[in-house]
Formats: sequence, structure tokens, C-alpha cells
Amino acid sequence: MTGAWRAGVLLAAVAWACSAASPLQVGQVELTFLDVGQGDAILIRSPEGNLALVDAGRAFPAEALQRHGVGDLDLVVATHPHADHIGGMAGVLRALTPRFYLDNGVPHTTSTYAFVMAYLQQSDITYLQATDRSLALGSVTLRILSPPAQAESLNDQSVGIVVEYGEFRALLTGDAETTELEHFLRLGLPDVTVLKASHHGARDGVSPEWLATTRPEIVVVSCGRENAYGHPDAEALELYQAAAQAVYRTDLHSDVTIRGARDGSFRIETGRPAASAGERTVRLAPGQVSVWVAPEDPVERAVVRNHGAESLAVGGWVLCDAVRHCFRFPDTATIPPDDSVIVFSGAGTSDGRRYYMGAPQPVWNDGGDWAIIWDTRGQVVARYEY
Amino acid sequence: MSTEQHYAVDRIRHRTALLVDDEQRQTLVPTSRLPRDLAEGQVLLVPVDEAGTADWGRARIDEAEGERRRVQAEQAIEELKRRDPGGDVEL
Repeated sequence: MTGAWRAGVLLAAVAWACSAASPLQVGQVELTFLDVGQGDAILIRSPEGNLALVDAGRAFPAEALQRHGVGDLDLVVATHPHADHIGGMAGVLRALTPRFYLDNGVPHTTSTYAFVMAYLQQSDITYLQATDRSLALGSVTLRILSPPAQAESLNDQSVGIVVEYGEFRALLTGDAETTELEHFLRLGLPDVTVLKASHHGARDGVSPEWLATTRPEIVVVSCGRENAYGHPDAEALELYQAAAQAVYRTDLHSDVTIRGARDGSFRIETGRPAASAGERTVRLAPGQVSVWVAPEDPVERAVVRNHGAESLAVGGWVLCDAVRHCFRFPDTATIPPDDSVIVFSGAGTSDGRRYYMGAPQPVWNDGGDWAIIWDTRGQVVARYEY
Repeated sequence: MSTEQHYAVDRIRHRTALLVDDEQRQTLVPTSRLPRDLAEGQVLLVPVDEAGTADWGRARIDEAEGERRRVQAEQAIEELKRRDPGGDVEL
């Protein structure tokens, strides 16, 4: 990649659309990162209309697929068998009757996985192993990157795919963490136009070496709003923003569609702009907000502090524990400068300084838990782990 | 009357396990409430009361069920591999 700013990127600033995807232009490959919440589902459409789906989200993404006019599929790929990637797979196989199915061939013990395998066995779908091979999706080449035979986690056995259409290239690596990214680097990778942030933008899904080799122009993070894992990680986002011309996120932009031409130019459409008109955005200094919880105190509470010199509007912000017990601050909520508000786990009447989650039982786990706060755009603003 | 139910460990992140029951329902549980040294892919047997509330503190790892599921999955994979035409493929 030359580093030149491709014409398509400039168009992207104005090219978001709320409705169904625009018709595919002749001679373009189309990648759509579907907004399926906290999970992955990526649609690839060749110029000839051939369709492949990489992962199927946590649940059958019927609505998202309908938005893009998807009928039958030619190929379905399960990068690895975690539920946020194959949760919707059985539904996809039943409803969209793909002719080919490819996965990493690594067994899992969940019922979700068992349902998928049972369906495949009784179907006539052609199974493909994730060996180093090329699949022709019309005039688009899908170069399969085989995962390592052994790994400590299923993430590090994700199937990798290089989507190639002339000079336009996209790289998809499921939830591969740095160990597998190093394995992919050893296989040999080209620079790419589009990089899917591995592992939903987690810190363990990227490294400086990874970005120095792949040299993406665009990075897309597939993650859910206010997800329990704090994806994408702030440090990872900084790496992506430093390396690429633009970073798109399904939690902020909804569906992200990239249409690429053979000469490497491309155009981007998103389901919504990152900040909707009228949506309040607050620019926070690093460490301006902190949260702390006291799980073993007789009156369980979380303390949220504004370390800034100005009053902070926190209406609509969400405070959650690790298993999604959540509290949403009222619209008018503020925290005075250099001051705190308290969020009690139990019931009570809020007075602007003290808030109540109304939980019938303790929220914060004594043995270890974490508290996380998202702003109204789904950005993590504070986190506390113990 | 309480019963017991299987939950498979789909994955563990940030000291929280995502468990999947036999009806594909997903539950997040802090690992501090589950048996020590729990690993991805293990299967738990968990007491569940009449209201359907799981007693995570009494959960135990069901090694035999985990192995049974792994063997069944490996057999399915081997059977499916026989459908693979091999090499590069035109879809």
C-alpha cells in the first residue's frame, strides 16, 4: 500500500445510508460487517452476486441479512465455535441453505456447537477444512489461512481469510489473539485495504507488528453497544487509529459496508453516522472519571467520581457489573467538579447525589468482579476490576 | 424438588465464564462462584431449584460428560471431512 489516501475514503464521510444497502455496482466486491450486537457476522458479495457469510453472530441475524437482501448463500464460514460467532449458525444453515461450510475443525462441548454439527451431518452441505487453500467466490478469491493445530484457547484457532479482488484486499481473523496473529504473520500476509479488528477490538487482538505488516487503510471493529467485555479496548483503538485512515465500529455505525474495486479504490456506507444529530458528546480527559465499589460493606455501593474541574453531565451513562446488572443514570444526572455520586445496589429514592439500582440482592461479587461505565455513545469512560 | 443441569463453558474472559445450557441459553457467571481452575470446554453439572435458579456454588465439573461431547464432536468432524473435495475450490 502506498499510504495514499484513496478517493473512496473521502466519500465515506458523507456516504452513510439508513436504508437497505445500495445496489452493487458492476465490478465491485462488497463486504458488510453486520450490526449483530456483541458478535461477528460478515457478508461478502462478489460482483457476480455470489454470497458468503463469515460467522453468524450470537443469534440468527435474520433482520440484518434481510436488510441486505440475502437469499441463499454459497458459503458459510465459522471462524471458531464460540457462541458469539456460531450462536446464529444453525438458523443460517436452515434458512439460507449454503452449498459449502468451512470451519476450523476444532470440537467444542456446547449445545450450540452440537446443533450445528447435527444439522451439517443430516444435510448435503459440502464441508471444507480450513487448510491453506483458495476458494473462488465468483471473481473474488478467498485465501484461507489455516489456524495452528494446537492452541491454548479456541480464539487462537480462528480461521483467517484474505479476501482478494485485484488490488482490493480485506483480512478477517475471527477472534485470533496475538499468538495466532504471529502464526498468520509467519504464513505471509499482504498489506490490506480493510482489516477486521481481531477479537472485537480487544487489546490481545492487535500488535504493532501486526499493523506494520498488514498496513490497513480502514479498520472495522465488530462489537455490541455497552458490551460486557469493554470492547473495543482503548489502547487497541489508539493503535488502530494511529495505523489506519479511519476506524469504523458496528456499535456506533451499525452495519458497515465497504465496496471495493479491482484497482483498490473503495467506498464506505454505514447504517448510521457515529454521532447522531443532537446526540450529546462529552470529551473527557484520561482518568477524568473513576468508579470504585465496596462489595463487602454492609451497604453495598459504587462510587463514581468526577476528577475534572467542571460539572459533568452523566445522564444516560450506564454502570454495570461483569454479569450485566446495570444502572442507567437519569437524563438530568450530573456530578459536581472534583466530587462523587454514590450508586447503592438496593432500593431508595434518588436525590441527585445518591442513586439506587433497586436490586433485590447484592450486585457486586465479593470474590472478584468489575464495574464499568459507558457513556451515551457506548464508549467506556471508567472501569474498576478487583 | 431440585434437579441438575449441564452447562458447558463456552469461554472465559475477565474472570467471567459464559456458560451454555442444553437449550443453548447463555449465562454469564463470575468464575469466583464456580469450581477452581475451570477451563473453556469443560462441562458443569449444576443443581437447579424448582424456580430454575442455578446453585453455582454447588456446581461440579462433569469430566465424563465433557469427554463424551468431545468424542461425539470429533466423530462428526471426521465424518464431515470425507465430504471435502480437497484443494482449491470454485464455489
